[in-house]
Amino acid sequence: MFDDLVWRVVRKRLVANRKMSRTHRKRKGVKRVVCAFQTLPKPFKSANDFVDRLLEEIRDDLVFADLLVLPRLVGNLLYGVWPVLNKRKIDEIYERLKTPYLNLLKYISKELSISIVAAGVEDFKKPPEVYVLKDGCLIYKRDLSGDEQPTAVFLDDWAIAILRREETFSFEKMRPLVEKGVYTFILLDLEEEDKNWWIEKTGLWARSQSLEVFGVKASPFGQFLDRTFKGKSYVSAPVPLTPSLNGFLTKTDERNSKVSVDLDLELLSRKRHENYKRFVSLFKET
Amino acid sequence: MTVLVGSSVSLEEFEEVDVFISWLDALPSSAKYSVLGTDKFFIVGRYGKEMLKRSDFEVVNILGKRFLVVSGEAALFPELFHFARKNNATFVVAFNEVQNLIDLSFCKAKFWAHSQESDLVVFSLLCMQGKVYNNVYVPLRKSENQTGIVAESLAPVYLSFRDGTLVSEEKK
Repeated sequence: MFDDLVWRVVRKRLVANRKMSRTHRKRKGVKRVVCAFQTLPKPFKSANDFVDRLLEEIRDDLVFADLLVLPRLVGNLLYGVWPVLNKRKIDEIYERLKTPYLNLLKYISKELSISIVAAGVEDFKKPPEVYVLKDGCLIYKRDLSGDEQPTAVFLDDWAIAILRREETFSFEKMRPLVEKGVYTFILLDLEEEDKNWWIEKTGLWARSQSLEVFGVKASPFGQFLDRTFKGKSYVSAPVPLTPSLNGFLTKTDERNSKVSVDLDLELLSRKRHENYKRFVSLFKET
Repeated sequence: MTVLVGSSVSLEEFEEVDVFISWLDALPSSAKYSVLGTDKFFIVGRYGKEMLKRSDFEVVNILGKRFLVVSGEAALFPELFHFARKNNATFVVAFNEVQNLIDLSFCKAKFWAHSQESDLVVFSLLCMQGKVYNNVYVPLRKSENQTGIVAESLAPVYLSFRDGTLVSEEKK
């Protein structure tokens, strides 16, 4: 009874009504990807608080941003909307946040006219769904705990694909997508273990080199209730496309909350070794 | 099994070498097996005698281990390393020519990535403007320094393997 009363109050705070807009300047062949909240922020007090803090973080990128990537757990931080957090009922709270968080993402995508990749609210029992939104509509979702294959998601004039962690350690699931013109792969991960950069490089970074594609890995860093997450976020690219020749266009540490980078898809297309088609049969025959 | 990656001059410093890997050179009689190549073709020899000459790639048996030897662009693609694994190869020897430092760094990154993905030991010889860079990569968990990089240098590298696993290395 009391919970229902609280929920009625809380529900209103989960609806954003803050006005926002932007002028989006599209560029031919170049896409700006902005990953916000890589360092986990404090819990949000309302949906409007979420929007305010997001706008504050991505303010410098608003004009050129083509894709906004939000890491896992960000939706869970809306638990701050509850006046008093009952940790015994936290699972129920997460469940109640799922739809309002998706609606909030739709609102942001529509108002800012921006594509968004974000994970749903975690229940910590299994990996969540990852959503892709465009112009306020949910155009794709992938259940990270299911066994469905990754597919190409088309955003205007470019294509992306959402990967599960295990799919980043081999070229096998990615090559068919590359053949369809997907050169941007996104992984939303959640890690409590602090892995060194050599281990980190065996995933998306290595595929960026072998398949000659862009890799965007967003994995939050920071405290969430009584758990500590030590993820590393980065954008990888083939070595010749990275100014430091290290295969990273950018990477975060605990001091950086935002990752913002321009993906030069046109340059990538020009530089790619396309002769791989000759060798695809080697893989298929075996 | 001992492997020397370098020029035939460096070979003189060792009494016995099981496998000698080098950018195109004269087939030495002092090594049990030699794998010599360029960006266009490679030769496999035994005690100075030519056994095999190919362009592109081939899986060869050397002292009970399977080596995938590859010349040129084919080595840049992960499919070839998948092919090597399916053919029970333990080692990959790749010969590539690069034009500049950017391509050199890129090829090194590619071969490191291929080694991690395929779990194979990779000998990558990269020739840039007449200089040959000897690079050896192993899977991270088999790497003493946990980087997967055994060697990346112009200097020759002498390595010992037991059952396909690196047991010692020496740079001259």
